[in-house]
Amino acid sequence: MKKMKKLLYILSTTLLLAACKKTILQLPNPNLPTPQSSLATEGGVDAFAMGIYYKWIAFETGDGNTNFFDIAWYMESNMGDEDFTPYSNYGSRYPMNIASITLPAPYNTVVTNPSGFANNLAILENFNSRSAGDGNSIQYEWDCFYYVNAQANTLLQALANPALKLSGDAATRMKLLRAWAYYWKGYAYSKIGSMYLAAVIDDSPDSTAKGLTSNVYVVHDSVIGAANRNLEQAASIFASITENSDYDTTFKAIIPSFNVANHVITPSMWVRQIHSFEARNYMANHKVATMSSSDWTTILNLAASGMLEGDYTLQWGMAPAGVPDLTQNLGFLFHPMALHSVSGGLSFVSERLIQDIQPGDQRFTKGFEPYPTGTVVNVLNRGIQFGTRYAPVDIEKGGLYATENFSSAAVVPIAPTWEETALMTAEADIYLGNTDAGLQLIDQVRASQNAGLPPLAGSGISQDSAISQLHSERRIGLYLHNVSWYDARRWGITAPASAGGGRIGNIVVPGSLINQTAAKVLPCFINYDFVDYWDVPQNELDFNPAGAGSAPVKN
Amino acid sequence: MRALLLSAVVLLFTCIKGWTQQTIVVTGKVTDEKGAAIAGATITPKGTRNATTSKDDGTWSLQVKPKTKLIISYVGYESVEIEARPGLTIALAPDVKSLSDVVVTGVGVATNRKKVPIDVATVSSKDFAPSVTTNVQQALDGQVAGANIQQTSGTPGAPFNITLRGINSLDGTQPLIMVDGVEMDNLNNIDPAVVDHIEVVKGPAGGMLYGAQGANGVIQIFTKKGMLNGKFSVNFNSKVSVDHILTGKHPLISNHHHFITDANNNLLNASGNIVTKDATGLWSDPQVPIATAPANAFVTNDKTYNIPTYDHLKQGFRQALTFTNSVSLTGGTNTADYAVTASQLNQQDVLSNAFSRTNFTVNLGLHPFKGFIFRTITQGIARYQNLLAGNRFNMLTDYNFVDFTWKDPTGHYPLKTINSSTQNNPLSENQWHHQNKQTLEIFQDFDFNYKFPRFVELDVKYGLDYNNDQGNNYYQVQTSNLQYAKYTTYWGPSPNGALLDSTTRNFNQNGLYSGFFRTDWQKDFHSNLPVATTTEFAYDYRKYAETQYWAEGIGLPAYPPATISGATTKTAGDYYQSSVTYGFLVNQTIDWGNLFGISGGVRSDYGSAFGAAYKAATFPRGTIYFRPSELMTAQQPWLRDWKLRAAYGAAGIQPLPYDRQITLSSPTLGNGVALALASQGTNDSLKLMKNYELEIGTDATFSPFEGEWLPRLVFSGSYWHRKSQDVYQNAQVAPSTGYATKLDNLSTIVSHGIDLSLDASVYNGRNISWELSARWGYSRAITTKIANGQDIVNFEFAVKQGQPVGLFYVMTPLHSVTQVGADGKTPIIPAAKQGNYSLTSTGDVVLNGDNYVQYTPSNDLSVVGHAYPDFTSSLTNRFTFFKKLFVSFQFDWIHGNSIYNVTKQWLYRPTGGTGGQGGESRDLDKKLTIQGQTGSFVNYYNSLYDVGLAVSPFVENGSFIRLRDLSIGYDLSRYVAGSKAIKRLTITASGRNLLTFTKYSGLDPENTGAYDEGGNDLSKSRTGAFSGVDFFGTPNLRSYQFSLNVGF
Repeated sequence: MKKMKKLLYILSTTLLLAACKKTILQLPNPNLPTPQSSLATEGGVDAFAMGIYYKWIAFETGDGNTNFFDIAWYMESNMGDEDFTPYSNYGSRYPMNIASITLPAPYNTVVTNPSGFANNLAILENFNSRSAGDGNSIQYEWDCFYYVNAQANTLLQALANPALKLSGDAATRMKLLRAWAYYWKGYAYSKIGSMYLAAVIDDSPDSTAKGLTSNVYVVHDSVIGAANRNLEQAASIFASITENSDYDTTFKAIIPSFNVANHVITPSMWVRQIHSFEARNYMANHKVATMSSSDWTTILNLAASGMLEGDYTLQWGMAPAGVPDLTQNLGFLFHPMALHSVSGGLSFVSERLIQDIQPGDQRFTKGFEPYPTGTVVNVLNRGIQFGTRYAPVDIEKGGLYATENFSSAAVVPIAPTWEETALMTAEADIYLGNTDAGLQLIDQVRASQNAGLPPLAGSGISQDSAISQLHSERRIGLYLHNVSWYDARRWGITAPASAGGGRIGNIVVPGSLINQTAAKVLPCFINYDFVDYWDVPQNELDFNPAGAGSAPVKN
Repeated sequence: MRALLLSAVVLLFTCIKGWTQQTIVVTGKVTDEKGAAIAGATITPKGTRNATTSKDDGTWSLQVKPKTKLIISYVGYESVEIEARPGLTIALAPDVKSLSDVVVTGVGVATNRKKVPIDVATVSSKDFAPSVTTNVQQALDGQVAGANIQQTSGTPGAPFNITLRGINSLDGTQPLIMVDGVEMDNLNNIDPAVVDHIEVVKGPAGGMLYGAQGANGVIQIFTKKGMLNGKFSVNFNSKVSVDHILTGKHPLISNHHHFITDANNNLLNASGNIVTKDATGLWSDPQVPIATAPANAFVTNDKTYNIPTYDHLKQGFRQALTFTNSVSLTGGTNTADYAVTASQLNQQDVLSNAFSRTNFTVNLGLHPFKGFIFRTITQGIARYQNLLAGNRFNMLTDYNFVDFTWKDPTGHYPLKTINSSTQNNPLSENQWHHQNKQTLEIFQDFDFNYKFPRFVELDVKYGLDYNNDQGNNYYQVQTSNLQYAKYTTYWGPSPNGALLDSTTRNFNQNGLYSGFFRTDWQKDFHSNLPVATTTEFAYDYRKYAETQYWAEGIGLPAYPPATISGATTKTAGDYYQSSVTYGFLVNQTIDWGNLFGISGGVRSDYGSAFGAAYKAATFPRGTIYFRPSELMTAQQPWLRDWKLRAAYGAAGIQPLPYDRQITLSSPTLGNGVALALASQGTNDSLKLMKNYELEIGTDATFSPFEGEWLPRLVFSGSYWHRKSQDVYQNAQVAPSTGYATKLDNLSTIVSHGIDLSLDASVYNGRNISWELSARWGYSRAITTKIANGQDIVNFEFAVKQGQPVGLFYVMTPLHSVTQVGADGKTPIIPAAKQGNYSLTSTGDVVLNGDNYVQYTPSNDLSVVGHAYPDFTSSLTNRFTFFKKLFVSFQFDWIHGNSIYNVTKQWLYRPTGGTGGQGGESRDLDKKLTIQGQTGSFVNYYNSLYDVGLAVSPFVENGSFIRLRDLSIGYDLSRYVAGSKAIKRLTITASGRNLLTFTKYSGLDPENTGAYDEGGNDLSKSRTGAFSGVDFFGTPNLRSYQFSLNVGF
């Protein structure tokens, strides 16, 4: 018994002493790297450079991590009326709050939007509050690209750390990484400046590390200015790089494999893409109706040094099973080609897109089919713009624009392409009176996409017809290139009818509106009445109110 | 016979007396207050360990020195101390509160209840409602004043919301769970059959001893334990329960419609054809009148179907059976006590498949030498379940005419029943998806206790809690499914099949080393002062570790077996988590006899998860009690005991283990791994959240009358006031900083409340007795400081400075066309347009053109309720007739909370047409008057759904009174009296949740969680959202039970 007592004392004393040291409290998170340890290594900065893509995925209270990039993308597709999303998830349907649709004679019925909001500004403003939670449509694009900007700022800070030693041709690798960071800052400001009335310019890593951010909101043109400055900075670095194997190695390390990593974008391709980007920024933010020939010449000049056929761009693809490719969240496949597939079911193809395709275009024949479960009509009674007879055919079944099963062919460009560059040039050419030069470029784009349409060049069609062909080609040739909203805005289609906006578009009119039992497609006058630039989201303003000297932050 | 025996003993006693003066033999009998024999009572000569127990007829005998004091005790009765004399018939009075004599939780050392200065609730297993079947939380329901224990779902194994004294923080209310002195992870795994009693300390005033983990209170389970020299006894209990979901009083779904029909009343689809299903079971959508066409503003929901319709709740939910069996063995020798309990629960789910749990508990105490006890408690728990989560959403939102039980020619249920919805047939999942989960938990507790002959007691406890969860999800290859071929629909991540395996291991350790130094001045120092002191030193060490592995294979081979190795795509991952906390405690208690006592102490905790891993968090405490009854008992026989008490204490709530560490996220992207700034920022200067509580209370025992009526009444009441500082919050920040949120200690919550409990012996007659227990707890938590001065908003939930936590802060319909906006002067509807609007008979403003309800804008919200109740209460009555027939019932009353009924809002959604779903609320049949016309106007209802935000019409009164338990038992022991084997036999029939009185229109007011409109769980978002939203959950169960209890 005495032995036992002794043993007990020894045991308890030992345990007590062993468990008192403060060193046992040092339990670093074994799952994740710290910025200090990882960003001082080459592998770390490479991975962090790739992580810019992951900033598409962000936390939304209640929803957890969600793909903000794709939400912003399809909202632009909706406002560009190439697809439509009739559901309220993420406030998806509000940007496409079409003010009114007028049925043709003999009906002449004016159907206003069932939301009760006069136009999309009214509904977007109604939901522009933190109380609206994930229903605030306009937060996604803002948030996503500021997150991207913050990551790029932090990357530049990490690259300036003298402790960071890169291998091989360190100078080339460093230049590529720096140019990459500036490019993405330019990308982020391009998106924000082309969408919001005003925004903040924040190039300091302190905004992230210390929670400090600029409170001076500048007007959207100045944001585009900041975009172009960063893009130019990237271009000037790219221009100083000679491609070698170290460049290729780093490039492949920083671009996700589903972005077609085997296609190394060479420094000169980067420079050309940046010029195309600048051309897009200029074009997207100028209305055709007010553009002078000098505006068109600016575009022509930028596009002339822009992308060539065969140049690679950044693409967003899908990985097998989708797990590591930014598409899987919450039961939805977040990818432009998945959300509007039949089983994706969140978005649909717009009747107006189909209407704008030229008869005989093989891209229609191969790309679209009648909606398998029957014509989609006035989804949820939320507006007759939410109807279609068509679904995109899955790539797995020989289609072009949709997938339900992670096809590796399901890629969309996330930056300008040579087709877009060619069509920008074509548009400038046509407006500057060089119609045939423009038509040649349209033919070139059509041929590359196997449209199977007869050539336009030399056909002697009028400038108006050429513009109409150009519009048609931008609709289908750049379908899912994330430019349809810019086009709709600058062509004046989404302006209020009172300001000359609107168009005649096909609408699947429910039978009960025309005293019939079956729905019927009728050419109706669509008065979109979309605001040109969105307000600054309230989730920014609540925590970062506009300081002195700020541009207006609301329409 | 008894008389004879007694005489014999007396004779013997006389003889012995003649032989020696050294010892005498004392005999006696122990009875209850009505004279019935008590078997198994313990008779201990004071100051010795030479105890005996009473026999079946209550008699006992013992050899003692003359004038020895005897202590006669029995569980559930008040102990009696009396000088030994022959023929001692002692009638024990029941302890009405059924309390143990001592409490441990919150006072550090076993303390006589009379001297406990804090509010400790004790629930004995005898008091568990007979209908308690599956877990300890059910047993606690309604037993503890101020404890809100909410079973939120009828799904087996579903967690409970436990809130002790209201809301303390923005990220949860989960109290610390302890079993026999050491921490245990999961209360869900403990079978009620192993429980002897439970102690509940509701806040830091008592929980301070638990330092960094005690702020939400402590629930401590004591497992069944044998007794030294205890008789060997076996108790067997078997129960069957028949369970159905609660369906409320109000049918949810309308059986009318407003779809477009032809002359023969056939439903027509958008193409003008009759609605029908295709070969795969997918129905086309009926056409709806266009809401916005002015002609359709007055469409009414009053058509009847000309095709069969089905009750989808009946098709989806079934009657389930639950079986429980337990056997426990208890007893003891003169150096050991033991209790062994084995139990098994087999529970069918009302939705699908089943759940089972087997518990095996051994509680063994060794008393090898005087003063020393070694106790080992081992619990082995095995759980198995193959439940599927199910989907009540589609049961309610699918068209009434869809038959879920229809199968296609290949024998499969259609996955998709309507083309307009991405929701699936709940019956289909079981055909393609198989889930298996196994849990093994070993909970081991060692306790070494040595009481030195004088002054010093040492106690070492070490507990380890090992939990291994293994699960797999197997999705069959579905490419042969008819619907896959036609519509590419499938369950799981891929039509080509998938297998997901995961293993999670938790290994938690808790060591508690305590030393006590006690003095009794009268005894030890021969002082005249009746002073007793206890000094406690303690060291507490906790380590939590978790390891997780998962692997997924997608694209399974076309031949069995399905393996991840055989899959075409394989992914895997791992996760590790550990945290350590340790603390020191010094506590000094001084008692002046039984009259009053004070104590004071301090605890310092260090933790890996707070204070930058080196700064301690320190918690002070102090208590005082005073017992006026000591001074007046002689004069006031009706007041048997009266204590006044006050306590102050602080305790903490730990953040998650890595919340204070700044790390990058490292997601897999394609073939690589990226690094990215976290979307939700962490904080390297995170402090421990602290909660300070002052508790003032009184405990009193009355004997108002001498006779049969109201012989005894026990009252306990406490007022408490709390302040939570440095409350954690994932505070939203400006997105331009690069973060969505940043974790910080930003807010302060102040709460107060009152807990009252009353236990009365209302009538105690010869053949009838009536006991009553009432519990009532009021609480209110106010956020007094909030981060950045900005409201925290989270769909329907909000936290606003100066207001209660858990607000429903939503848009409201306009109630007047001239209603002004937030500025108090500008009309919301411009004056010029007010003529286009009118007021409905329901008091809402609608636009005349389409009868759509008009709302305040989203920047003009109103508080229309709060999710947490003002008070929770219960009333239990127990009747015994002729000592054989037992009848008891328990009502629970929860009052003052609101429920946001998202389920109903979805059922106001436009039906029919593409994307329109099909089920619609029964409310659509209700008529109202708009613009002079009366009818069940569809647009009015649809517009209440379609605003896309949380709105006031769906905030409902969530108060309810529920008949939690109704039981009738009969003691059949006398029929087996001749049997040598069986000693006791009781049968019980009981019902659980049989009646609910509520204005709430959903299925079950307890079936709520924290969800937004899309069903996303907000409860982990650290925004004070924990419950109060009805989102298509599985309601609680109405159960009918039959049980058999046999004692050997």
